[in-house]
Amino acid sequence: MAENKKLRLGLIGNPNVGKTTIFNAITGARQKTGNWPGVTVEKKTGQVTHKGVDIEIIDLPGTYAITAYSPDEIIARDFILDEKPDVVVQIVDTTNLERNLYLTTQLAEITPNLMLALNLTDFAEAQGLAVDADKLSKELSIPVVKTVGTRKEGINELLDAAIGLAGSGKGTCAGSCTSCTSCGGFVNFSPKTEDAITKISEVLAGDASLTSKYLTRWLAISLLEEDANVIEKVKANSDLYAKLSPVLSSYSPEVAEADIADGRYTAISALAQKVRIGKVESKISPSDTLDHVLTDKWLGIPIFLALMCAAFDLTFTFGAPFMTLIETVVGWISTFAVDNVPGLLGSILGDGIIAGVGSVLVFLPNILILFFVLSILEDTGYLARAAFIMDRPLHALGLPGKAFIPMLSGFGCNVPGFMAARTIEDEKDRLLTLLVTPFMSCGARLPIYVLFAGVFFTANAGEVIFSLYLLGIVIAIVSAFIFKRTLFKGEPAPFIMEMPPYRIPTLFAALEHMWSRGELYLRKAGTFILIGAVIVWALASFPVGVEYGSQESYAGALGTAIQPIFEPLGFDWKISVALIFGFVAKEVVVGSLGVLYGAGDDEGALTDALLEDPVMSPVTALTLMVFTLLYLPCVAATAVMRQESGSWKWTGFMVVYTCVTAWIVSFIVANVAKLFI
Amino acid sequence: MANSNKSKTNSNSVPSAKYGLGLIAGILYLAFGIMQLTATVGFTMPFYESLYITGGIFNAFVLLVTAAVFLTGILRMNRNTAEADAFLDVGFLLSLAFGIVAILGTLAGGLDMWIGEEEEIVEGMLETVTPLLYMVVFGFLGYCLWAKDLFRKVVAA
Ligand SMILES: Nc1nc2c(ncn2[C@@H]2O[C@H](COP(=O)(O)OP(=O)(O)OP(=O)(O)O)[C@@H](O)[C@H]2O)c(=O)[nH]1
Ligand SMILES: [Mg+2]
Repeated sequence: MAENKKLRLGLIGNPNVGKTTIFNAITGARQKTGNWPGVTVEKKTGQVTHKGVDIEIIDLPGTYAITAYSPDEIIARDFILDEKPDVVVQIVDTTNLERNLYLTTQLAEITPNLMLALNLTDFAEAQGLAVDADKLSKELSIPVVKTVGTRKEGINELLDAAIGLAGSGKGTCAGSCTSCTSCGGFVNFSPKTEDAITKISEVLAGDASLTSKYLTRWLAISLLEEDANVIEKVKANSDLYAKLSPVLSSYSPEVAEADIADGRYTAISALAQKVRIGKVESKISPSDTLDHVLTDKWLGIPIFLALMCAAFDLTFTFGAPFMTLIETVVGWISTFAVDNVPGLLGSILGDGIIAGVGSVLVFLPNILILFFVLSILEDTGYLARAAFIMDRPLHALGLPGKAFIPMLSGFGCNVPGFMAARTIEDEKDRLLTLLVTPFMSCGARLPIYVLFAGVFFTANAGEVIFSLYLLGIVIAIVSAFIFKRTLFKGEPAPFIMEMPPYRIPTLFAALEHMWSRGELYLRKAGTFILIGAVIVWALASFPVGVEYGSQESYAGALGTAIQPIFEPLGFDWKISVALIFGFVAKEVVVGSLGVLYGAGDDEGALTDALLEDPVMSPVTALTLMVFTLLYLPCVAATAVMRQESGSWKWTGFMVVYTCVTAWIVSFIVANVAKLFI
Repeated sequence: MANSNKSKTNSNSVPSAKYGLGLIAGILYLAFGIMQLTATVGFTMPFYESLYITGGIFNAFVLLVTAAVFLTGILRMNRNTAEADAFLDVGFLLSLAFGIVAILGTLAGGLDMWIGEEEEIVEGMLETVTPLLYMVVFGFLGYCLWAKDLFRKVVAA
């Protein structure tokens, strides 16, 4: 093939087999990987040049089949059908060969450009489940390579094979060809079904517009399975469809479907036997026993809560000295700026930018620690068990257990939380999950908690923070419960979650994950928060002549105008202004308070200023934390909500609902807390 | 029947030392959990201070959960050995994890004092000690002797 021709390579495979890990290994990107199914929900692209060939790599969401039932399966399937990649690489979990080969049987029918990468070979070998790649390659007559994604092993071989496959001209095999292995897949169905496939293929051959685009055998099989999508394609040519109906109606789709699945399984087990080296003893594995402990009916949830409790405790206590350090440095810099840069510029630097951005930067250590811990819990496979445990109580309330996965992802940031809801097939359940995901306390809210809990609940800060996260979950569940009974009536879909295997987390992966979070946080500090700080500073400094940050400034006027809404919650105008700007990004709440309290002025940081403010009390602090936890998610999350729900109406509803809930719950908290604190 | 069951699971008997250590750990975690709970609601005994039991509902909760995991392991000993064994392993791992968190917290407390140029670094550190810290001895022992094999077993099984 010509030098520097662009090659398009798609990575496809079952969930949690290491597609994204391989993608990252090839491209050097740092897309999120994680030890549970459904981490990737969107198509991601990357570039690499290998031996003079430019290759575009596309990472796809995991899929068990390409029969297209849920949105992420559709993404994977449409990719192959519409974008016609030069090479489709199926990443296979070698420890789970049979289940993965199911998808292979389908892929081999839908595209002639298939190759396999046997990933996780390290685990497979450790478990005595090695697979003979050469033999498999011969059996299927497609290239097969071995890889270990996490160690970047076999990546060059994979790319070599891909370039070889693209150059072999296999993909140019005429669509009407049904017999050659590269076009027909490798499964032979029962004679009756094969007969039907031949008859349908003969009719289809008459329509060049279809057969030039899709493999005929695949079209025939899909028609037998009554695949709605394919039927639609065929119906476009009404003549053809009329000719097909007599053939199709002589086969019962249920029988055909069962027969086809049966054929696949028979072929798979024969194939697996031939290529597997060593054999598995069937026994109750220690991993199942451990599952029993961690998902125990009584102890499962308490263990999860205790671990979370410890995680938040660590986040707060271990972060404290590093916060002090950053706080001191920020204090120096800002004093230096105010003292040495004259006039307005000094003020915008010291009171605005450094005070605002600095007060947010202080919380970087907490973010890093929390995500380090979460990443370890996730990579071991524990978080997936936590999701499983939560299924029981959720289901008892009539809620879809699957909803807990998006909710857990929402802990990092609500944006991936919304996107993870794509794995939910039922439209109502999906919308319901989208509506409650904003209550999951994302990383951006953590600085607010650390600040206020640290100042006003010093001794129990970790516990207060943990309780806020819990409150978020409880409100989400209660809301879902109400919605299920009013807006989205119906039976929740049963939740069958596959447990990912236990894996020993690597320090490197955890550090990398932690850092990518930290980087995101820093980038936000340099953009949104910086701009927010400048705007708040300007509002606090003008009109010309007012005292900085006084009630006569524009900020004061704005705050005073909306303050009546917040009056019952005990918030003054400064907090009101900060809350408004928190819509940009929740960290801005802290940034704005930093600016408004003129944290830059002296070495006394925002913490001291808050302690001295008579308006602020433990009760107000608690109320404020609850309010920021529950009120609307940031702009970015709201935009994604609109994208994922496809509806302004529901997005608007979410905005109103979260604000009203936040107000009501905060009001209750304020009044109850008064009695105790 | 009992025999065929046993031959299926690799470790058909739990070392009695593991059983013993698990039992002691379970009882102590339970006792400290209860004391921590009483301290939280304001009831204290003279010896509480020397054991660093200063109250805290979440601390009590964590202690009690750990106790429950150990004791469940002990109670299941006769019914399902493999599961009982796994409960003990998880107990030791939890004890170790919570202990490490407690140690890190105390170290951080000292570091914070040091950065703040305060005098009573050691006193400051001692203030943050909870039973979870010294109970890590059980987690550490249990981990080194037995629980570390759990990783190897579940990952390569
Ligand atoms: N030991 C080992 N671990 C691997 C290997 N490849 C991937 N992993 C781990 O497997 C887990 C899943 O990897 P991902 O790359 O997120 O899997 P994915 O296929 O993209 O998953 P989805 O996006 O959820 O479909 C991660 O914890 C990886 O670190 C491998 O070859 N060996
Ligand atoms: Mg992925």
